[in-house]
Amino acid sequence: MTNTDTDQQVVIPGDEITSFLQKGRNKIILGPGLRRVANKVYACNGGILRYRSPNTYWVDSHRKRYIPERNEMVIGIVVNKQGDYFKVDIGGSEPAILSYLAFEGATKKNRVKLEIGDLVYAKLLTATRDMEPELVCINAQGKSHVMGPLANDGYLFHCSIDLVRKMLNPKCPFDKIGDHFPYEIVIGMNGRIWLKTYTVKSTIALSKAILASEFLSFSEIQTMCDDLIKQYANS
Amino acid sequence: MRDNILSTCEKNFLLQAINENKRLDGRQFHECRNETIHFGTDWGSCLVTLGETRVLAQVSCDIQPPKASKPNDGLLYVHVEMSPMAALHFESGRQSDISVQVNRLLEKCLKESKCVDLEALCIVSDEKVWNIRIDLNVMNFEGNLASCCSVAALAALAHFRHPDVTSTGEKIIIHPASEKDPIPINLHHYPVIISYALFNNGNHIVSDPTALEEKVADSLLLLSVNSYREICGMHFEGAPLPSSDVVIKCSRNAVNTATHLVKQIKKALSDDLEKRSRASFGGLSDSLDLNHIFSRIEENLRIDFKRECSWRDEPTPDVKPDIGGVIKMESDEDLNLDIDSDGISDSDGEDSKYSVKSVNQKTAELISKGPDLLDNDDTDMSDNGEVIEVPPKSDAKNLEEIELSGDSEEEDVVVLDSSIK
Repeated sequence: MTNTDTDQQVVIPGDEITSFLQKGRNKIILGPGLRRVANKVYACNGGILRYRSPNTYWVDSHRKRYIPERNEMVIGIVVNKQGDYFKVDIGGSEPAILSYLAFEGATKKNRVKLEIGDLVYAKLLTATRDMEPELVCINAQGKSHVMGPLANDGYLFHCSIDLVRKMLNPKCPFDKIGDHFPYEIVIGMNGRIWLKTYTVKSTIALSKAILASEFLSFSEIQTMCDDLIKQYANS
Repeated sequence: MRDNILSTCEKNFLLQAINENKRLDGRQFHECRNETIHFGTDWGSCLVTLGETRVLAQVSCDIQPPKASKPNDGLLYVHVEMSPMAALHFESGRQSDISVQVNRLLEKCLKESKCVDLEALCIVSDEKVWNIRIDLNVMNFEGNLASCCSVAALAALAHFRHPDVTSTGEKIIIHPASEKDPIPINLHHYPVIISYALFNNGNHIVSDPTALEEKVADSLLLLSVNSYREICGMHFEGAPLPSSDVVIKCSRNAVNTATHLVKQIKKALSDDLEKRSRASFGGLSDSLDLNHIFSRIEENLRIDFKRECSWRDEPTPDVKPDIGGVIKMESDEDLNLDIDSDGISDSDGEDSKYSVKSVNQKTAELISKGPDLLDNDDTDMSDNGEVIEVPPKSDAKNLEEIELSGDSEEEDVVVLDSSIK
């Protein structure tokens, strides 16, 4: 273990990290990738140990497989229609269910038109170990609030879960591209990104830029974005 | 688990891109992903990557009684293993359709083209022969599995050595490597599978398709071609073939790709022999870049992005002069990602052609090589034995039969030449 900044500490499963935790606090919150055994804290995932003030610790790890988590926003593919439910593949171990009525303004008569293979952006209402996850496309007020079916003329691509977290970070410089380079993007926590721009080639370029940013720091992403904007202006 | 369902969105977008003569990873239609070949410390162990598709091959041997029908021939057995590690929808321990198909394709490519000299594997006629077993482990699946597997199987076969045997009347003695040098397998020719995906009724032909392209394509054409430019097998699946021209077009391209691939395999083999004599030889661990964790994946993504930008200058036969801005970006990156520096400076040199070892150099080589595949089609054939054209009539006939039957066990055209130079 090389001891650097607490924010950049790389841990592998089995590492004891008790010494990195702040002393003198009686309460500490352990996030994903950390586990307490007796009085010691161990890492159970490989990755970077993160800390957020005042007392939260977790491990940022590279992961491709999605494990459904309550309240997360995901992009699903409709795989089946049965009875009152759509079966939606969200990349988890089993498909999620989405009720016909869980859309804004939907009634028994007024149904949403969704075909097999269509995309929906939805929120996980329940995600437990023993039951299939359930999705909804409305919030507590019954409004769609950006959720719902996605248009079929965009581009859907897959990426790792950690890239999604990075993209959703408010500091991520991709937002700024929007001023020069109009695009529409939907990011699902399940490692799926839906993207739409005016032309095929700008869609491909942007999707590649997003995928390439996986292992770049924010300042490097900024350089890349500037470059992309410059090239877009020239084309 | 079932195969992931394809969303309408992905499908539409891919078709739209194909119609605009673009591919989602920024390649040209005729361009293949770059492949790397690495050998392990054992004889006959080989790791091949084709873009993100990775296959690990291991050849092993044992002694068995021969088949009664062919008492003088050794045995060759191919087994493809696909674990869920490669893709979510693969199941371990159960033969899926795709694994049966790849298995069969490889058998056609290696066994039925008589590339392995099976007679040389006979120890005592009718009693004991060598049984050569090729195990292929798919480690990551990103399309064009057959091609990747065939390169891995062939490279591993060419690399493998079986123990020497002396037969003294009644009993046979198997010599350990310390007593007598193990013997390489005799290969008559080097067939590899090259695959094409056909879109829009054969108007758009894409070589080395990715997993998504394979799913969306109208039909797939797999050709096994050897370095003597002979077609040893053909497999066609999907919608009926629009015209026999497609096959001719593909096979023209395939022979060039195959020659290039076989050259790479041979280069990798000779490099490996040379490396083995050195004390620092580390087998497959040499294939890893230890400088940072995600080096390999990042390589690919970075290059893709670069090329995605380079097509902005539209048809890009030579990209070099136009990519100033991108190079600048890379040099920025160099400051942070230490391993990149070599590859980029080398990539301009002509001598880095056909390099197998360094991923950096090879990606550069693929860019410059792009136009060669199409343009030099006929010109540089002369140096490599004679050109054997596919007889168009018989092909078309065979293929017609295939379409009608709709059977996945359809058959191929075998143009075999036993008198190999």
